[in-house]
Amino acid sequence: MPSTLRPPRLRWPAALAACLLATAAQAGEIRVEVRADDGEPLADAVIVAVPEQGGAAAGARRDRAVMDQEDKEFVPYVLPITVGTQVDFPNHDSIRHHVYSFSPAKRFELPLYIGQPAAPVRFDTPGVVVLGCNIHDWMIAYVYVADSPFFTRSGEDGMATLGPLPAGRYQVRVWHPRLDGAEADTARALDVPATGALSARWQLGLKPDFRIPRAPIPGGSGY
Amino acid sequence: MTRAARYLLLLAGLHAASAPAALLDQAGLELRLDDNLARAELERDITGDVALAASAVGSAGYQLGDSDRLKLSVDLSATAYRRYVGLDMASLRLTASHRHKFGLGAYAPALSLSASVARQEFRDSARTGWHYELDAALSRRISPRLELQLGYGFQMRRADDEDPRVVPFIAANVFDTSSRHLRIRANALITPRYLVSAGYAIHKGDIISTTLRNLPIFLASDAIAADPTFGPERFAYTLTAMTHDVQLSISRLIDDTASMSLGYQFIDSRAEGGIRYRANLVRASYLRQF
Ligand SMILES: [Cu+2]
Repeated sequence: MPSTLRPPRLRWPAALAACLLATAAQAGEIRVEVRADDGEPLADAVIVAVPEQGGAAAGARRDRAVMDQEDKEFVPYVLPITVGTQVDFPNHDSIRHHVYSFSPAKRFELPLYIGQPAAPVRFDTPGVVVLGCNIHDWMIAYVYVADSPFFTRSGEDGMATLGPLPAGRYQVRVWHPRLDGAEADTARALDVPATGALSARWQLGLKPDFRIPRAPIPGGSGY
Repeated sequence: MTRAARYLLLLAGLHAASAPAALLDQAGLELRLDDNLARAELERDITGDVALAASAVGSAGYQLGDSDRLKLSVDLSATAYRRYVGLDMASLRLTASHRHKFGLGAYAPALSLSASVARQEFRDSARTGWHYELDAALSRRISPRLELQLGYGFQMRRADDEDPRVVPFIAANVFDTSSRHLRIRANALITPRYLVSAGYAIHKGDIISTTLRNLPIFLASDAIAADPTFGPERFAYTLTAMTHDVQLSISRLIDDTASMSLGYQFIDSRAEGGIRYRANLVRASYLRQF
């Protein structure tokens, strides 16, 4: 439990009881498996759970996240955050990058820089923000700004765990950069138990992964 | 040779002094089949060969501003022929290119201007000399899959030595040539891993055709010299021609740093006096970025 949330004059037995209760109430989780339509595990899928009762104060959190740049690539490829999160864009390469986004959810530009830019970028609108670098055209990454504080991202094995979540009914949906179709169509209502885990599996139709090539080709421009 | 070596050292030194880091940027290997190496019209003169070429490029890039980039590169390459070993060549090219982007992002059009000078040393020294190029290219990416380019280039070759005159009053500097070209090219991903390139260029200027003694070519030529590289009784003629050049290639993008390509090129050249030759080239290549 973060110390800043602890009521100042609570005596320790009461505090302990409150902690236990809180833990019990948040014990539910969703174990998610995401696969491509060919059955292969799908990495970098974002899974978002929105409580049907409301109460998840999206935007109330003051989270901080990092979108790194290493070897002329963004790391990670997909960064899920919640509304209001501030994202740092450190450049760990020895050459300069010029990060930009034209996405309606967040238009911004970090002109040529090395190291740490002066200030993080705050993402206030839910949606998908596509990042590019004006110097290295092949560089691409996605910031997924969720309208809920409950989100996760699938790993290389296609697995992810959402939680701990307060018990209740949630609308759970999945997004991926190659998702073929509307994200809303992936939504499902799931009842998260007070304790234990719930398993859910998605199989997503995907578009081909066309990206601006980085590899050199004969007669290429060489940039 | 020693004079050439001094030039090469000077070029390399200039580059090293200006580069923040001396790097091996790119390396490549190419196997090339050319079915009309002599650029000849008649069956009796047409002769093909296979060549293997290796290249290594080092470069230094300078981002001058948000939209401008200067790149200096040194390209060292060597070509070896199976049969016509006199054409074996080592080359050192220094290129300066400036790229300006009209706007922000991957889909903004870009203009590249480049100038290069190359020292080319052939095994048969008649061709040995300097090669100069000026180029302007406008490129525009339409989507992650499709990129279009429009380019204009000028090139000039100057051989060190002029061959003895074969015919009085007719120049023998056959290897001093110049030409210009206009080209278009499209690069398209047909799958996420396979890229097809299609290009067309029209060249205007000098070509060199090597044949046995040939009256129509003689009458149309601007310069003549013996060309023992292709055998005895062979002569190189410089002609003014219009050349159509069609290229098609497919590249497999192995990963983010390397590609393998198979390319085909058709050259159709029409010179003054009704002289015409055609050539077919096939290239298999491997390119790697470091
Ligand atoms: Cu960059």
